[in-house]
Amino acid sequence: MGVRGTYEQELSQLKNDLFSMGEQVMAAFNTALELLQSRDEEKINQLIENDAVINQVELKIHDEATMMIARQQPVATDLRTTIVALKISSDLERIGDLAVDMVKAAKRMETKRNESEIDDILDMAKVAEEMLKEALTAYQKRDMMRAQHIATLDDTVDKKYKHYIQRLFTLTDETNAEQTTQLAFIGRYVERIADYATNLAEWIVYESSGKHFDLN
Amino acid sequence: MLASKDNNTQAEEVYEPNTARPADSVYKVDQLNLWYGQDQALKNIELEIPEQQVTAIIGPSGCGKSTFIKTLNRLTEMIPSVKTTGGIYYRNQDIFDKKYKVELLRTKVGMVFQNPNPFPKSIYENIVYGPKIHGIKDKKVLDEIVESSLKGAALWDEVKDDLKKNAFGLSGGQQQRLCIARCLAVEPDVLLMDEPTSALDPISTLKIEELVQDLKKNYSIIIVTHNMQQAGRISDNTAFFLNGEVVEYDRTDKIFSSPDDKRTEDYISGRFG
Amino acid sequence: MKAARQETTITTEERLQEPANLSVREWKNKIFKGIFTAAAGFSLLMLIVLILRIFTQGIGYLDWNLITSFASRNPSDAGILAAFVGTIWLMAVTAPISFILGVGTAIYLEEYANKNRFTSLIQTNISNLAGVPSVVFGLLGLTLFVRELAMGRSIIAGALTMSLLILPIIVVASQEAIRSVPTNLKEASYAMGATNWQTIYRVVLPAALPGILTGNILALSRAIGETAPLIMIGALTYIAFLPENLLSQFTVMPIQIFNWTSRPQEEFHLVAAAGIIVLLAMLLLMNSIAVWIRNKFQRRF
Repeated sequence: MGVRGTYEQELSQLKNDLFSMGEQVMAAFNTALELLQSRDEEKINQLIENDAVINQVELKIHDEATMMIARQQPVATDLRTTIVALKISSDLERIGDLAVDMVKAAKRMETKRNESEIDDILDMAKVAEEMLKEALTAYQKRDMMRAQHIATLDDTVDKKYKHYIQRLFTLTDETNAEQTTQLAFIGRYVERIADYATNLAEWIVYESSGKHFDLN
Repeated sequence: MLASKDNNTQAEEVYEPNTARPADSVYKVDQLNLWYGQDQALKNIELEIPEQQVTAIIGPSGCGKSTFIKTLNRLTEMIPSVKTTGGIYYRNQDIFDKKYKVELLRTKVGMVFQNPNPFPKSIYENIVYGPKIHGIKDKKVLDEIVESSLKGAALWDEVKDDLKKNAFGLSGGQQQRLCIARCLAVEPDVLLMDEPTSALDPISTLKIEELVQDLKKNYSIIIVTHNMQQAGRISDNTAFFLNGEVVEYDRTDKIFSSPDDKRTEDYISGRFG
Repeated sequence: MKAARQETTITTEERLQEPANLSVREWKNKIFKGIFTAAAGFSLLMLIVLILRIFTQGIGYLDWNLITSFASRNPSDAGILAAFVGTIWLMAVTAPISFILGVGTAIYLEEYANKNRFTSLIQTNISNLAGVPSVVFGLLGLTLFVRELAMGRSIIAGALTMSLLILPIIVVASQEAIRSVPTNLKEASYAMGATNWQTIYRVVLPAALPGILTGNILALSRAIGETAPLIMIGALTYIAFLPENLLSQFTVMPIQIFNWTSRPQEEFHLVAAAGIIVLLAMLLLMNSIAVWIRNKFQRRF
């Protein structure tokens, strides 16, 4: 055990907690995508309940990091790790919220309609999902190259989002305004999730290098 | 805070840190007052010190924290003018009771001092001092005690080939760990530490802190420190002393993130003291 | 702010200027240095004169005969055997008595006694006893040991008297040595559940022993040179036998030397000088042992 073994344990505990929070958020996002099609009432409620759990985890990480700053006076890399944990946990929590918002919007839509638009969303979401997964791996491995790669994926999502919105404008009159609005919202949520994933990447770069990069 | 985004979510389920304290306590201090001649050094101290945890006592110089810890093993009695009222109960026994043997108390309650104070003897002789005064003579048993105590104090690997060398040859940090090992050799229940790192360099200090974290698995530790960061790093509970009184006594997490008393906050944030 | 600073600007020349009274201070320093060197030189000079005088006088009589012969009417046959052995007997008996009494008292006063009026009374008395003239101790010995306890003019009576004489010195020196044992060592011992006696025996005495021994030896070397109390209790001035037990009569070297110097014959003065050389050698030896002990056991705390 090193000179500050206990503290190092606490630090890696913090990173582990954050990583598992990331996995929970990933799972929530996956479920949300499934529910875009099935809209299973029971599963939707489960997802909403689960979001409360994610919020709790965020608060727990927040308290852990606060305590570490108060009690251990981290400096240099330790300090960045702690601060980044605070930042990333709040971004992850927002992603979780967006997943919930997605299914809530889906609930308000009419079923068995606009299947092809939903396919577009799923197509876009696949890239966002990839970004999130990459971000988590990069966080765990402190991998700056992987983090920078995420930024290029974000450009793909942005392009897809642009096309998707343009497509919504060309929809026929059959689709009512309510339906279009919800579809637009869901697309917007996915695009936001991709943006948050990019944010994560920026924080991961900061954690390793101490430098701020604008990856957007 | 985020739970209120949608009306049906659970606003009441906000995360609460664990505030539960274990029931067992090693010390109960009841209405303790202490005078040096005419000067009152401790005023109405009321504390309960939990088992197998690190309890830190912090406060500015002259706040009575060292006096308090030396009262716990009745070492204040070495000063002739000291007068005490009130009670201290160690494992529910009144330590001021005339029938209670002070030697027994001090066997159960070891103490580490501000300045490392090894005896001017070999490392080996330092460790076996305690066991010998308690009547252990068997060389084999003593050898085992030396090894286990030094291992317990994370010093064994550094000195195992120099056991016959004079303890004064060790560095300050090693000497302090030797003093801790010397305490462990008596197999105490409680360890009192009176500013154990104030005479040491930062690395030695961190080593001792790490050791304290390790020792609390088997011992109840009470540590006086004027270094509040140290209290933050290693303790489970913190008592803030000021002018001979306990201003605040709570979980260290609570004291260091949101103390109740303004004076505590000012002290730990370095605004006075 | 800026203006004020410019007004008080000091030039480099001013910085280098020497204070007005520096040369006077240097002068005073030199004068005092001279006075103190002279004082130290004077006592050294006296010692050298004394030693030179004694050696030139006594060297002729300083031979093996001096130590192996008894006193005699004939200066060339005269020796200090009886006195030499008497001194050794006296010291051998005085040393343990005064050590046990003196160190015991010191331990009691420092480690056991509560600080109250009674102990401060004892303390004051001990300090005062150190200043009592040795003749008075002789009188005490005569009344108490020789007469009351009917020990006669024996070694034991002499040794007890000598012990009383040097006791205050030993007590004070031992107290000093015990007090210089760091409190934190004692605390360490007490904090591990040691009793008073265990702490004294295992921590205090080992650490204080060099100081105690040094004090004892220096006190004994004072006792070696004492004449007055022994004359008071009536130690003999002329004996031609060796003491056999504690109740034997005896003489000691200072008495023998005193006896010789008070005789009219010049030759006896020379024998006395030779005796003084032997006495000085003994004193020197004991003092050297004291210094050696102090250096060997000196510990850093």
